Amino acid sequence: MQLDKTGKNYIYTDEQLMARFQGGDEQAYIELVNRYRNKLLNFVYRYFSDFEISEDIVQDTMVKLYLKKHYYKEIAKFSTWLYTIAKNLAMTELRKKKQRRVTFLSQMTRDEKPYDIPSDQPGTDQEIQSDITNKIIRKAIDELSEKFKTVIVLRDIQELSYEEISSIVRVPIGTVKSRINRARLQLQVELKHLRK
Amino acid sequence: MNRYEFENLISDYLDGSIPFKMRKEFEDYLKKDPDAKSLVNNIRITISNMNKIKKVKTSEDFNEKLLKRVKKEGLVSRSNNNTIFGFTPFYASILTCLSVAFFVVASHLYNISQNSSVNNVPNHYTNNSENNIPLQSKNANIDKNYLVDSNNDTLQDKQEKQKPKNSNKIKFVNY
Repeated sequence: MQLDKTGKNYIYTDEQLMARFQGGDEQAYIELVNRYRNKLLNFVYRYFSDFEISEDIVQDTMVKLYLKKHYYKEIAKFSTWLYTIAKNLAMTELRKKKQRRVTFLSQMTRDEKPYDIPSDQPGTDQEIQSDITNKIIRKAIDELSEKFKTVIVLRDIQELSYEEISSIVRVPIGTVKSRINRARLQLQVELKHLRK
Repeated sequence: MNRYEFENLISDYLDGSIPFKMRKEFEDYLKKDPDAKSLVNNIRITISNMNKIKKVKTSEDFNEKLLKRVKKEGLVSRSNNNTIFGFTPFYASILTCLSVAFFVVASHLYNISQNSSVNNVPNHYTNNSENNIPLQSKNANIDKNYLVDSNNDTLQDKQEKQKPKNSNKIKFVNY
C-alpha cells in the first residue's frame, strides 16, 4: 500500500487508516504512528517536561492503539480517541509521580525541584532570546492547574478545535472556551511574575 | 461593557468568533481602557509564542522499540486469551474443584436429611414392639399420685393457676 502525502494532505484519512488497520493492515498502523508520535509527544511533554517519561507514555499509547484497535468506532474522530488515551495515561503517570514526590519531599531541597529542558545550542542573539521566551512560557504553563494546562496545550500548542478538545477532556464546548479564556488570563499573570 | 464581560470575551475576540454587535462594544472598551488593550495584545503575543515553542521529536529508534513492544505485548495478550469460559486455566480449575465439592457436600446433606425423615415416621408405622404398647396401658405406668393430684384440683385452684402473677410487677412499681 502506498501512503504518499503532499504536505498535510494525506491520501488516507486517519479514520480510513484505522479501518484498514482493524482489517489487519499493519502498514496502516505504522502510518498512524508516524502521523501522531510527535504530536502526542509534544502534548505529553507539557505535563512532565521530561523527554524519557513523555516518550514512554507515547509508546504506551501506541501499544494500546495496537492492542485495543477493535474498541475504536468511527463515530469519534481518531485523533480525539488517541489524544484521550494519551491524556489518561499521562494523568495516571502524573498521579504516580505526585505520590512519589510526596514520599521524597522531605529529602529534597527547593532548588532540586525536577525541571529539565532539553539542552539546545543557540547560535545568534535572536535564538537566545527565543529560547529564553520558550523557557519562560513553558514554566508559566507548568504553573497552571491541570485542567487549564490541558486545554491551553491542546488549543494553543496542538491547535485542536474546541470540539476536539471538548471530546478529549469530556466537558461541554462552553466550558472548554471558558477554561481557555481563564487559562490565557492566568498565563499573563504568571508571565508577568516570571519576567520580573 | 464591564471588566468581567470584557475578560470573558477576549478569546472569542482573538478567535474571531465574537458576534458583530459585541465586537463593536469590545473595541470601544479597548479604546477607552489602555490596560485592556495591552492585555489583549499580550495574550495575542503569548499565543503566537506558544505556537513557536520548540517542538520535541521522538527518538530515531522510536518505531523500532515500539514494534518490539507491540510484538511482545501482543503475544502476552494472545496467551491471555487462552481462557475457559472467560476464566484463566488456574481459576477455571479452582472453580471446577469448588463446584465438585459443593455437589458432594450437597448430596451428602441430602442423604442425611432423608435418613432423619425416615426416623421421624410416627411410632405406629414402625415394628418396634415397645412402641406398639396401647396408649391406655402406657398411662397405667404413670405415677398414681400425679393422677390423684391432678384429679383433686378444684375449680378455684384452676382459676388461681390461670390468674397472672402481678405481684412482681406491683413490687417493681412500688420500688
